[in-house]
Amino acid sequence: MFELRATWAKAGLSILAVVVAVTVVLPVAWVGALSLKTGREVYNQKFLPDEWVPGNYITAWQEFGLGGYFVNSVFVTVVSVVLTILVSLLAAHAFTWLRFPGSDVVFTLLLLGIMIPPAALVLPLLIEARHLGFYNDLFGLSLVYVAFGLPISILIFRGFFAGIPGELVESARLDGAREWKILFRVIVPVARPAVVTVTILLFLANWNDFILALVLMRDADTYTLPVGISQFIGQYATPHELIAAASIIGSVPVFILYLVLERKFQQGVTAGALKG
Amino acid sequence: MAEISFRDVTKVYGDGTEAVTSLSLDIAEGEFVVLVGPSGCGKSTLLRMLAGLEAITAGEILVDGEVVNQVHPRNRDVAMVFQNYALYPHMTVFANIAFPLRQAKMAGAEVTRRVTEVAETLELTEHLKRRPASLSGGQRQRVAIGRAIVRQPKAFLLDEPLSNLDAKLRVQMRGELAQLHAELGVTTVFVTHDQTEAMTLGQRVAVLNDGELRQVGTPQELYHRPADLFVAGFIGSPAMNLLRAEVRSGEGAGDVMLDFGAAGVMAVPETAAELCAGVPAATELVAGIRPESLLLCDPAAASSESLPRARVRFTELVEPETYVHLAGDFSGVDPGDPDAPPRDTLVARVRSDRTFAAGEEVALEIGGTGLHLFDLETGRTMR
Repeated sequence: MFELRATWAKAGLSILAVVVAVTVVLPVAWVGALSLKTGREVYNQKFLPDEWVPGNYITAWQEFGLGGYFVNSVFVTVVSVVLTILVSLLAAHAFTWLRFPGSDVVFTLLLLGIMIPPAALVLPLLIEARHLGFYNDLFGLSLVYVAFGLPISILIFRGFFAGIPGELVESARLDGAREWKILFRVIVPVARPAVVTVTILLFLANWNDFILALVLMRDADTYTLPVGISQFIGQYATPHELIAAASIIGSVPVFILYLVLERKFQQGVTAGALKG
Repeated sequence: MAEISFRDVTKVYGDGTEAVTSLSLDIAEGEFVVLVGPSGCGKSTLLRMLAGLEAITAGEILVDGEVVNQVHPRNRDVAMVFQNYALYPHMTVFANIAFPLRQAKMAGAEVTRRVTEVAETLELTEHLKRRPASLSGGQRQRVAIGRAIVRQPKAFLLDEPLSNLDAKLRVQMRGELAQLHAELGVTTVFVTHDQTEAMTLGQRVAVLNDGELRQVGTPQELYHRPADLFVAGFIGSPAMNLLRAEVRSGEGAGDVMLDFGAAGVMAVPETAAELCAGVPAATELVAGIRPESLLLCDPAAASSESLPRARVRFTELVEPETYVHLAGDFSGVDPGDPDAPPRDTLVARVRSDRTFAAGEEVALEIGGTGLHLFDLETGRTMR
């Protein structure tokens, strides 16, 4: 009886998983199909194109100058992700292992950052960026991403660090290691799954950001991919097939990053540290 | 090697819990001292304060005559082995053992030489390229010890290092630790709640309870001359029988009797008579009788009819001995909590060739030197 119920539950969950997967994959597949159609076929109800046009990708890349946007996006995303991870690792280490008076209050204040959507801060950010001199500046945009990425990164790292046995840190301290060495030689290798998770999350958020990049970047040569692609939309005509092709090109780095990191995502790396 | 001194060391946690209370203890250079006590007695806290992992609320800790209260753990030159090994899981055995040397920026060739030497001592040579996850419990424990000894510190601090091992391995590692200490001669502070470990390893044993040092001495001193009820009850397995009694004069000149109330009256053997010297008659006290000094006699053949009687509850065969658990009209004292309700059970340790049936009645006598007397009010020994 129990086995029968378990089988039904498993079957139900499998069906649900398939439905969810199709729901998620379908729009992506639709954009993929769209990117291979001719301009005339775009409004065609058929899913697959009658005439396959892989050249749309080359056209999008060349005619709309995707290369420049791509480089900007890579710069902004890599700089912001690296900085965010560095700073949040240090902060999480301090919040977890170097408790100081008022650390809980500071941590709570920091977490408030998660609750404020970036769009709500666009105007003050714009004014601030102008005053601080990082308006229309790619590094400035990176710093804004760092600010928005820190709370969630610190939260994730701190949560993960809390699960690492304190004896590892204490042992390293007694072995003569300084705090930064404890963090990068002992903690980070153990916390690799958390680092990978945060990297993927931040990369996705910063690579795909539209609103902040739109507001804080003025010149076309500083546009990131999402903003650059949005420039394809014309007043009288919009090349949807090229926008779709550009979108697919834009999502390739995210796919690659996920595939590369997913393989390195090794849970349970702490196995063997302590008595099992 | 270092001399270690605790001077009126107190530790109060943020929530007001007093883990260690004004504790003073001197550890000589090269000595192996065991801190023993029940869970929560403050022994690990004391060790962690010595390592610098816990701040000291009051008092001083001195290493080689220098106050180290404010010295960072990495500068104390002490090595610690943790209960759960705390090995770096992503590093090989070699890298784990070499870690402290690399922090000290030691030259690569010297690191290799020292690690190889330690690995040979601890029989880890063939495992140097493996990671901790692929090692057995005993091997992991050896790696942790290797990491501690490789840097030749002033002192080793071991926090219940054997408690995660199975019984057989524990005995083996105990022997290896004793041998290692004999070879290296480094001052060692070993924390355990296991009195067998304490008694077998320690040159001196410090017994702690509720954050206070109850007694420090050699294992023999603790066993044969416990300072108070707690030490008497904690050291020795099975534990000492602690019974309320009243001192009475015997029939002969100088004879002293212990009156156990409804249970009966027992003569204090001549070997222990000096204990009662100066104790006025009718004094109420706690009599402590080691299980091996509790003699079980056939009531029919007993020397006196008034000897205390007890019934056998059950027996435990621990070759070559048998522990006989008895119940009688005694008023037993709980050494951990003197205010606890009295217990009427006691244990005798006899040779295993003697057999006892449950419910069998026996008469009790005291033999040898296993009698101890404690003040009923203070719990301190009466000598």
